[in-house]
Amino acid sequence: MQRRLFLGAIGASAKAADICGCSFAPQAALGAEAFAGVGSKIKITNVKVFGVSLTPDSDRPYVFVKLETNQPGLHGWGEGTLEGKAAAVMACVEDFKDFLIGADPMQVEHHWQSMYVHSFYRAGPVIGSAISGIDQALWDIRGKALGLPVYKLLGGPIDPRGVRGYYHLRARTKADLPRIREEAGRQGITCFKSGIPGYYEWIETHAKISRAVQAMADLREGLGDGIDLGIDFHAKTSPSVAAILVKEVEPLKLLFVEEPCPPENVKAMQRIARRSTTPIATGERLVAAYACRELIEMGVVDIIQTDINHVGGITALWKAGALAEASGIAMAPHACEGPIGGLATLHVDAAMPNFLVQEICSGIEIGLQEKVWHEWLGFPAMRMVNGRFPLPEKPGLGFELKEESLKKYPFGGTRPMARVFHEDGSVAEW
Amino acid sequence: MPSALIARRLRLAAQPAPFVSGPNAIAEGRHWRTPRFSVVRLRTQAGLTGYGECAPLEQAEFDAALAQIKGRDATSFEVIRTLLTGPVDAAINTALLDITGKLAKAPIYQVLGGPTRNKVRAMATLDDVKNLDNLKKQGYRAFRVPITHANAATRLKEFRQAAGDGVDFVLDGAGKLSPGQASTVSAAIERLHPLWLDEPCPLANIRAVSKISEESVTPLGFGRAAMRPIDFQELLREQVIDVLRPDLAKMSVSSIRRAAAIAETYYTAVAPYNIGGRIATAAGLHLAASIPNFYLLDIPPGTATIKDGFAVLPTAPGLGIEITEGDWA
Repeated sequence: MQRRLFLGAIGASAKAADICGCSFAPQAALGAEAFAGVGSKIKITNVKVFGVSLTPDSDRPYVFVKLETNQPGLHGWGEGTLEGKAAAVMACVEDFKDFLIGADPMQVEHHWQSMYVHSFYRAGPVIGSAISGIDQALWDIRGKALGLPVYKLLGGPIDPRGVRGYYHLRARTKADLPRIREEAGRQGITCFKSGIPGYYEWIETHAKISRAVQAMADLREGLGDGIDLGIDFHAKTSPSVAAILVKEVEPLKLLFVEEPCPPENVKAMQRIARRSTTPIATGERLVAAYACRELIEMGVVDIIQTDINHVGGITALWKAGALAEASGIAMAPHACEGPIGGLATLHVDAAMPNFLVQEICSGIEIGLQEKVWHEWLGFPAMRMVNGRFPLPEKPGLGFELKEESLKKYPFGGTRPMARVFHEDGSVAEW
Repeated sequence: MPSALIARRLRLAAQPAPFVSGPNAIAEGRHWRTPRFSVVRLRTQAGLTGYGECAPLEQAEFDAALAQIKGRDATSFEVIRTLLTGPVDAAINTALLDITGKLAKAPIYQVLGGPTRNKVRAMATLDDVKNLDNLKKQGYRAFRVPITHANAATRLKEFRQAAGDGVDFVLDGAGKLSPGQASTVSAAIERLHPLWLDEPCPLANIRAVSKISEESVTPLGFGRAAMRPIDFQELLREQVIDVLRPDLAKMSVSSIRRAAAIAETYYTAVAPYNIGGRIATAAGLHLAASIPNFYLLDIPPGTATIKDGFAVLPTAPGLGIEITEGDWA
C-alpha cells in the first residue's frame, strides 16, 4: 500500500505536489523498472562484505565486497578498505544492499550517482570507501560481462608494458641504502617513496628542521640521481614548517613532496607550494572528484593522489584524473590497502594520459602481505616487473578470488590507527 | 538581503538576560592599577571572588564595565564577552573564569575542555646575551630577542652560539621595521631557522605586508595590536601569518579561544604575547591547556614555575594561584 502511494508520485505525473515540496516519494522500485527496455538482463542478486585481518591486531583489515548476479558464475569483487574504520565501512556497504539487489550492474555510472547523490550528505571517507568497494565490483562484473579487462573499457592501455610504480623505501639507516639501490637495479625499480623522521609541532626548532632536511639529503645521496624519490610528509607538518622544508630540499630534485600539510585548507597548501619549486602532491584522503576541484582549479598542486579505495572507486578515480589532465596535472594514485584495490587502480592508471606513477605500500623485499596476496590470487599481485606493474589480461579486474581462501584471515575487528602525541602530551599528526 | 531583520533577531538573542539575583550573581567589583597593568576583582553574592588582569585601565572604564555586568550570572562569561570591548574584557573574562572554576572546583582549563597538554612551553625576553645563563638556569629554553633591520642575522648567530644546543629564538621586530626592511630580514634569516620573526612591521597595508611571506619562508608572528578574533581572520586570509600573537593584556581568554578556532582551520599556531604579571600568565597557562593549536607563551620571569623549557600547569580550582591583594608584582 505504502509503496503504491510512493510510485504514484513518480516524475512528471506527480499529482498535487504540495506547496512546500515535502511530499517527495522514495521511489524504491524505480531503479530496475525505469530501465527495463534499455538495460541488460543481468541483475545483482546478493551483496557480500568481508572483513579480512591479515593479523588479528591489524589496524587496517581489508574490506572486500562481492556482488553476485543472476548469471551463473558472474560476480564482481571490489575493495573499500578504510584504515582504522573497517566495521563502519562494512556497515555502510550493508546500507546500500537494498538499493543494489535487483539492480543492473552494467549501469555503474548511474549507480555511482545514486549512491553519492542520494546519500544526501555526500560522502566522507566511510561512505566514499563503501561506494569504492561497490563501484570496483560493478566494474569487475561489467568487464567480465563484456569480455574485456577494465583498462580496455576505459580506452587504454597507454603503455602495454604496464604501469610504472614505486615501493616504499623502508631504510632504517643510511647504511641500508646501497643494498636497496643495488636490489632496485636488479629488479628494474626506478622510483621510491620515503617519509621524514619524527613528529612536528606547529612551529619547529632549528634542530628539528635541520634533521629533516639532512634525512632527505641522505636518502638522495644513498639512492643516487638515477632513482626518482618522493617524500611523504604525511600531513604531519604545519604549512609554516612545510614551507621551510620544501624550499630547502629544492636542490635534491625530488619527484614530489606529498601532503606537506593536512587536506582541509587548500589555500594553506597553496601557500607552501607557491614558495618552492619542489613539486607538491596530495589527495589520498579526498573523496570524489569534487574534493579535488579546488586544488586543481587554483593550481595548488602538481600531482593528485586520490585512492581508489576511498575516492569512490574506478568511476571517481577516473574523473579526478580527467579534471587533473585538463589542467596539466599528473596522477600518482595512492594505494596502501589490499590487493583488489591495488589491481583495480592499475586499470585506471593504464588509461590515464596524465598518469605518472603508482604507489603500493610494499617494500622491495616480499613480506607477509605479498605472500598472502599471491596465495589468494595465484600470481604475485602488485609486484613490479622491470619497474612496472604488469596489466591483468583477463576480463574485468582480471583475477579470481575464492571466498574460502579468506577464511584463514578472519575479521579481527576494527582497530584504531596510530595515536601519537607531542612532548607536552598534545595531539600530534603522524 | 534582510540584514536588518537578522541584526534585530541577533540582538534579541544576545539581549542580556534579566538580572539574576542568587548566589552566583556578580555583586561587586574592585580595580587596582599598577604601572604596568590593572587587576580587577569580582565577587559573587555568595562571596566567591575571581581575579583578572589587563592593560592599565582608567577607573571610569572599570566602573562602566562593572555597571553593565553587575547582577549577571558569573558563569555567563561568553554572554558578558559580547557586552564588553577593549582590555577591560580581558580582565573581567579571566575573573569570571576564575569564579566559574572555583564554583566547579576545577582548574579553568578543565572547565574549557582541557587539558590539551600537560605543560606549557615558555619564552622569556632576552635583550642582552649576558642574561642568557641566568634565564637558562631559571628553566627557559626559548627567547625573544629584539632586533633591528641591520642586526637580525648577526644577533641570531651570536645568541645561538652563546646558548648552545636545545635553545631557540624568536626575533622581535616590535613593529618597527618597514615591510621592505622586514622582507630583507626575513630572507636573510630564512636558513638560520629562528622559531619565527615577531611583529616585523606595523600592520598597515596588508598587501604590502604579504610581500614578506611571499618572498621567503621565515614564519611570521603578528597580533600584539589585535583586539578581536576577526583581526586574525584577515591576517590568515591574506596568508601573512604563521603564529597568532594575541596580547593577554588586550584580548580575553574567551576571545583568544575564538581566534584559535579560526587559526586551527589554517593549521596555524597560537602563542599569546604576555608582558603582564602572575594573573595574566596564569590565564595564559589555562588558555594554552584548553586549545589544540597552542605553541608557546611569553612568561615573564617570576610569574610561573619553569622547568626544562616548560611551565607547570596549575591544578587548583579557578586560576589556581595564590593571590595576595596589593602584591601585584
